[in-house]
Amino acid sequence: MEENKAKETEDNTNWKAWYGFVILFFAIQVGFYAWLTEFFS
Amino acid sequence: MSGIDWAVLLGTLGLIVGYGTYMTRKSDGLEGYLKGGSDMKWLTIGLSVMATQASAITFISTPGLAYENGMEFIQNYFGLPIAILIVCVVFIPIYYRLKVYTAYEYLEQRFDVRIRLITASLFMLSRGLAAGITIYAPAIIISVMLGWSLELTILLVGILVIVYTVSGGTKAVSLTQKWQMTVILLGMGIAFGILLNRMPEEVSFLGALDLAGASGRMNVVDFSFDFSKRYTFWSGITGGLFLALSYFGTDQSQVQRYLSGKSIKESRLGLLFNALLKIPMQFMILLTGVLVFVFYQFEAHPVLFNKAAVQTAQESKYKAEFQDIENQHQQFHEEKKAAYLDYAKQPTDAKKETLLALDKKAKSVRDQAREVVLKADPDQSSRDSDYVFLTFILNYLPQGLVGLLIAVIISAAMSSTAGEINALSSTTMVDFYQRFSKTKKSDTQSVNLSKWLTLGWGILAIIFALSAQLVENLIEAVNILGSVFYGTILGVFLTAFFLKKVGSRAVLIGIVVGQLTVFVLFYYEAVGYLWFNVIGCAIVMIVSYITSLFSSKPEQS
Repeated sequence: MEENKAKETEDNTNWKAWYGFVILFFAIQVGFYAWLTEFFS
Repeated sequence: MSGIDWAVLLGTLGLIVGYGTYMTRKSDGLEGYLKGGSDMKWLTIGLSVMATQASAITFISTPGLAYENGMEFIQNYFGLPIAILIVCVVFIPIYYRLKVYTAYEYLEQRFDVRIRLITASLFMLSRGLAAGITIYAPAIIISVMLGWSLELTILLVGILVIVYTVSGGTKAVSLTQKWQMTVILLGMGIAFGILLNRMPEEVSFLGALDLAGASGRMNVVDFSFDFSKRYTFWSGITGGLFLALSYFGTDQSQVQRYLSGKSIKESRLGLLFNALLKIPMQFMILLTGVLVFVFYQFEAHPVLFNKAAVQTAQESKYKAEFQDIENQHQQFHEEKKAAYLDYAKQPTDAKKETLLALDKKAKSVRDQAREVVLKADPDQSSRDSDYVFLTFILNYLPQGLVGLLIAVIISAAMSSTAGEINALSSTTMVDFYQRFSKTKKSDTQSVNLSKWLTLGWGILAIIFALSAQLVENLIEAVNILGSVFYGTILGVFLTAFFLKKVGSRAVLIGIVVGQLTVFVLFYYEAVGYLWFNVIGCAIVMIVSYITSLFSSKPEQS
């Protein structure tokens, strides 16, 4: 448990930025798919 | 298949299985066997998670779905990125902190052993049956199209999976999945390129999309609030979210993949890889199906793609009726081809109307053919779209690449089956055997027992596959089966995480009420299957919470 705690503490990744990027990428995709639907319908 | 195809197929499968078995030949003890030594990097985890989810059905059925109904199925995956974010934020830190081998271990610490065993059993029931379908579904299609024996195809896939999964455990599964996924992506990319290359000269890529749109196949997103539609943005973002949350957060076949990570960071990045790439991957597979549709507007094709169904009709007393429909289809094809070429040269709204009308007529001809097949043999699968993509591969890909694409399909079947039987054996070992065994076993003995359990689950999956009946819609059958149990399992986990005052007795009542409700809804087909996940989960949480309010005795939490 201690070892895992240490691994968790060592992690200085900016997770909020990663999660934000995932949501942004998803939103862009939905926008693109909506445009495709509209454009080719 | 030619000799080159056989060499490519057997070479690809042999190399991957040999690699997985060789690289994991040394035993790392029980932790190594069940958790892969906890040293996997994010890319291996990411590809392994993707390979576990993407079964052979994904690569056979999905293009067929797009051929028949367009791109709307993509919306089923819209909840996935959000679900993965929730797993990264809530589930993974808890699993790591408690150093669990299976997701269900956590439930004993939070509630009691009964809840752990019930959820582990629900997982084993649904995943055990699904493992059989995962092997059976591609085997039936491959055997019909290539003329192989169904039983031998099932045995080939099943035995190859058993070889490396038993021998190397979780590490072998993850390592082979990495290469299987690489072969899959490469093969699908090549198929896509060849498809574009074989379009008529008058039809560019954008022109093909335009033709697909004119035939109602570019319906990617539907924002309407129509609950009778199976796939809309809203059903994907709600029902799809719950399905994905349950799958990635509580299904041991996925939990085991990311718990093999070197650290929380690697596990999270592996999952985020899927949050980013899963929808684009599905989009490309569906687009391949749409392009196959456009391609077949210019190339002659049989009225039905399922050779076995055609043969059934041709050998029955309805032979003449079927022949009439086939003739009608051939004549009609020329008319359709001319109309599509005309639209490709100069698109107008009036011509678009013509294309839509022609597509409607084409569907009606195919429906008539299916009806004749069903009259000839009511047990014959009437779903023809599963055979569309494989027909294209076999008829239009050059020698060698046919073998590669068959390797893609078999690799996909193997990778998801391996993940499933690996997880089933871990759950049996950790949540049942180790939990109740009174004798302390050495590490070697435990590894050996795990290997026997993996072998047992592998054999059971083969037996299920051999005794499976034809299911109408292969890809949906797996999702429906999962959705019947997933809602309840997810409800238990979310109650554990977020309703801190609810104890084991209350959640037990919640499980019973939630699961019974889903069974009733399933039996009466009251709602679309994606909603089972939402309803099952919500009922477990609400009933558990209300019961805990009326509970006179303070409960363990």
